[in-house]
Amino acid sequence: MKRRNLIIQWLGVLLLLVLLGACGDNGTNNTGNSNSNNDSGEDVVTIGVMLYNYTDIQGKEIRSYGDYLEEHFNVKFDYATVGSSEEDHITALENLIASGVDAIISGYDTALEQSIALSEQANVYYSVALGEVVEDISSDYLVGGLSQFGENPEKLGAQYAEAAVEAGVKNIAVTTFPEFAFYDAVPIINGFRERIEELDDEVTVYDTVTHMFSPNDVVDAVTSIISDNPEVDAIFGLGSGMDFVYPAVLNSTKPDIKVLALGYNDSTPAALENDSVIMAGFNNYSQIMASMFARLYDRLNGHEYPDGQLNGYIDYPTVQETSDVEDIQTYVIPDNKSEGSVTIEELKEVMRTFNENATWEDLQELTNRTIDEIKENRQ
Amino acid sequence: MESNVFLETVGLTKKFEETIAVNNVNLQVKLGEIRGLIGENGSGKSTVSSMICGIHPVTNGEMFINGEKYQPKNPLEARDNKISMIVQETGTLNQLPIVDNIFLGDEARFRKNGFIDRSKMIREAEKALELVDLDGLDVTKSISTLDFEERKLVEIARALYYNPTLFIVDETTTALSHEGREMIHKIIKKLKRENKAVLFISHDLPELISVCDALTILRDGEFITEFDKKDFEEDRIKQSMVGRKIEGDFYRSDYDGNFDSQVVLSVKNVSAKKLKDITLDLHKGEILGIGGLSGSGMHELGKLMYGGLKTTQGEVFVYGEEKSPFLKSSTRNKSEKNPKPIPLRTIKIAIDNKIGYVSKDRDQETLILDASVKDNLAISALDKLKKYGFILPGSERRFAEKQINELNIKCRNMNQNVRELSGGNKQKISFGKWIGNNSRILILDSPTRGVDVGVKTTMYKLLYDLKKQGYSILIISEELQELIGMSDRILMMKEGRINKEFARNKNLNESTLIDYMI
Amino acid sequence: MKNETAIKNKNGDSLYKLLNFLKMNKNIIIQYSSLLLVVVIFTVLSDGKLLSSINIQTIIRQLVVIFTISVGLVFVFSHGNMDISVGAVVALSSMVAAFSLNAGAPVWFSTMIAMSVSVACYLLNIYVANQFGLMAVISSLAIMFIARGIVTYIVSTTNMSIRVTEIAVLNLYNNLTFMILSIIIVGIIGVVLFNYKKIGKQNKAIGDNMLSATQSGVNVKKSKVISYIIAGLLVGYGSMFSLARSLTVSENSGMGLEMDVIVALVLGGMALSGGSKSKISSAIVGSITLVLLNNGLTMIGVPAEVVSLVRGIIFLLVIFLILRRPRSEKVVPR
Repeated sequence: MKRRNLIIQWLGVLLLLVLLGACGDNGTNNTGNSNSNNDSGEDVVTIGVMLYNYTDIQGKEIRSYGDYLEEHFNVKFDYATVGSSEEDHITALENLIASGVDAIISGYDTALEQSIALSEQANVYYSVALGEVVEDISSDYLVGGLSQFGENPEKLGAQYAEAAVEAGVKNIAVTTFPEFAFYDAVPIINGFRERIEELDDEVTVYDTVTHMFSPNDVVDAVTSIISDNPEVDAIFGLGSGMDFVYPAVLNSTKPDIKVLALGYNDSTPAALENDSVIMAGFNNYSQIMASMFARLYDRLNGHEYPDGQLNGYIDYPTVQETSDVEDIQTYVIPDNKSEGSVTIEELKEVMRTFNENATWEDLQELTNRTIDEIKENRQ
Repeated sequence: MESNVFLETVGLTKKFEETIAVNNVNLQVKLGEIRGLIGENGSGKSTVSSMICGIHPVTNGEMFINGEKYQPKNPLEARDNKISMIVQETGTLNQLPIVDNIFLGDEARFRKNGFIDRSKMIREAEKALELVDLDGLDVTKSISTLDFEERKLVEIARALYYNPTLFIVDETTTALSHEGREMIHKIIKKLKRENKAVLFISHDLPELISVCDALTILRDGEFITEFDKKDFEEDRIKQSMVGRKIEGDFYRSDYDGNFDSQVVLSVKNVSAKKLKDITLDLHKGEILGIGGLSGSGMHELGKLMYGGLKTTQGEVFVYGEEKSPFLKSSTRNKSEKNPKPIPLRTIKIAIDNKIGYVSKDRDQETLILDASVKDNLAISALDKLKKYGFILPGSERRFAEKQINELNIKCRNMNQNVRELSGGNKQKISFGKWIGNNSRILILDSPTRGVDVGVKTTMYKLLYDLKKQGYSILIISEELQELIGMSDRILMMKEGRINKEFARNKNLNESTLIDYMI
Repeated sequence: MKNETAIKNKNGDSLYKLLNFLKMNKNIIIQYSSLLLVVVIFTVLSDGKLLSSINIQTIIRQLVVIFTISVGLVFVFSHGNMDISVGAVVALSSMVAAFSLNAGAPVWFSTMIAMSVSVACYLLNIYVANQFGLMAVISSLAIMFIARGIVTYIVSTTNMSIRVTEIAVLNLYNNLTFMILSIIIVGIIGVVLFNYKKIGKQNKAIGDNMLSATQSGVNVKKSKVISYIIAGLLVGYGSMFSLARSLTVSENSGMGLEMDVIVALVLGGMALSGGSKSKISSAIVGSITLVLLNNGLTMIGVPAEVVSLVRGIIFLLVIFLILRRPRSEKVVPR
């Protein structure tokens, strides 16, 4: 009896501490913001962010760029973790709206139509950060989406094709998630095939193999590729090339198959070093957040690009050599965002709120810069 | 204080929240003595023993072992002080092998180089079982392969293995058959010869009188009096137990043994499981006793007559009321005189035809211990309680109240959990749920098992009243005295067959019956 | 003892009665304490925003699905059975309903279809469990894989998510008044079936002691089948609300719902082992608590990384308050 009461009391105290600590955090953030933003007179806007988690590199990078923005703009980000189901998505959105956010950056286009309908009712702007908006929805409150693979995804495919030919592989298999889950794969693969054909007609590219979302599905896909076509010497893995395809190849009966990976992780530098990965690629999260934020912030302050479009695009940086990895560290996932892909000064330059002459094209240009272009610009 | 007192309690008191279970009890157990502790259900016997064994902490008062203060925090400390107990409920874990059950919690004793010396453990387990004449058992087999009685013996072996100076037997014998009891009696007499102390807790007075050297009587948690062997006198002891005078004979007093000729339930040439070619009739207003050894198939017979056992041959019929309204009036008239037999194949048919059944394993099979008194009483009568298709709380409450009052069930209120009630009251509830459901045929397996004298008396009176109201009652019991005292007819079973039938007779005695069961 | 007698005198009479009342209804009060706790904490920390009319509307919208499903599943959980297929069943029923709506069927008909699909899933579940003597949780696992598998397969055959093309047809299920009415009616049906009909009482008996229940004339198989039908009907009905909320079905639809139901029931004070401690009010109180908890955490802006921790602590607190060990010292031995 005594022990139980004690445990209850302790839990109660713990709960209070956590809640107080959490709220305290927010409080200091708020005051910090208003102090640093004495120069501008607008009200603080709140933007809700919806992602599956904030613990992987994607979530962490988006958050830290959000922190960087909070320091320099009158903005506060509310990060909400959402489940993968439609119901969970809607629930999280409703809760954010009820808590009084002005705009939403959703990672995904889950239940898009209904999400926009809810946002419209509450006069909240809605945007999709990690994909294009392909559905035919027109709403004043839909700000738009973002293509992750540059203005023309076929070009990215061509880049991979060039790297493949350069590496001298002859028999290439292609794996990806099903089309309904990954629309961009189609143009990327098309670009890849076309470029290969142009460059070297001795290279065979096999039919695309689709697989579902678990690592085991990928292992099965790789196994069947090897048994169907024993001569395969490279796999273009679009369904998380580094996280799924690369380990699956290493554990297969032909671990010497080279991987062209859409994706990046901690093992990429070593894999590039020993040539088991020909090319890897990386989402540019700074560009993602910069693009989405610029559009939302302008809208919230009553500005709009005269030439604005529904979907913007950002660059997809690729790495082929270990030296490229360093660039990634410096520009794409920098500790200090003011030296990263998009700095505050550069961003303000293309936002209508701060520059009346800024255009949609200016924004796309800024957020679609390759690493080389960024380097050049900073010289 | 005499020098050979092993355990002494002074002013021992135990409160469970507001309830005082044991109040100011002084008890002495001497070496070389079998001390009986007797009292009605709820008199605090088991609470006393639980405190001695460190299961419940003491609220007030003190205990001494050999004159030194003794405050056990758990059963292991009690064991270290050479006190072992066996209890009424099964204290074994079904999933484990016999050997692990014996040394449960004490495996460390066989540690050798960081590992358990399994073979030594097995040897020691066999040695322990020899103490209870259970040699030749494969101790690595699961304990669930043993029957109830053998399991009890394993528990006794476990207790004896630690060579206790004080051996406490708590209500164990009521659950055992004749042979099991004899075994325990033998063991405690042997302990006595070895100058050990035994505390024998029971409410079976004749048993205590025959075995014990001294008796301590508890009533309502208080110490009442003590008797030495020379003063043992059944009526006086009973009187102090119950607190009022009890008739020497608490069975029914008539010896007519008559009942209606109308058959209500009939078993025709049935073989099933242990049963072989059984034929019997139960009549209206009859108390039919079934006696035999535990393995004779009499418990299965009870299940069979309740539709709970599939027959391999033959059929059981219940003569219920005619239900079909489509029958021509002439047949209907006829059937009223002589109801049509309905094959009894499922429990549902049994209940529809007003048969009630109380299992030998009342707590596991008849009652729902975690449910309230009200729910237990109502569960089989839900159809009857329906009003416009709904079971309203009010009708449920009235139904439960009626049974509680009529059977004088002692509970805090009808929402109390049945688990918290004493054995006698639990038994009353298992009767009540059938009587309330208008059952006219009651099949009672070991109805007075684990029930004390006071409740027994009321229960026998109740059964007799029911008989006079025209109820048909089948009593299955190992207590032959009870069968002789209550039945209109007695059927003795042996090895799955009915061996002999006796009509009610003043001169019937146990030894006559025993001849036909062994 | 002294206190009691002191309180018992005349002017303290009402206080004594109050204390006595609290004592008598301790369990009920504890059952509602988690709800109370959540309401009070979040109302205070959100400066009353929690109870603003717009947020209450939000809460009702979020409540309707989990509420409907939890009420249905109490019937399954009360006989100690566990069900983890509910999320997948909701996905399958919503998908079939979406197809039927897109084919031009009226909404009532689509509702019937959703309910029949869900009932079929649950009947298959109990049939498999009965037939092969499996624990119901195992067979529900199988149902989960099958239902989720069908949905995933069909979703993968099209390159777009499955959408309800004519949004207006589901207006009924997005109507707040209809939601409130539905919550009330489902609640009443649940209470009546569970407390005033045979099925609820027999379920509790089965959950406590199947053997005793059988010997008391409970037809265990029949009770289970009826319970699974009730669960299936309500899960199917709930999936219509779920569909109306998102208007799309994907391979992720309904994901995690099974856990939400379990959490809701525990927050509402239900013992997952079933038996006499099962209460229909657990579904009602628990689902409200769960929705308030999730909503409140966002309302007061708890950072995403501690949301789970806070939820865990609250969950533990509730468990300690509600699910006390059944055999405490209170049991008086013979």
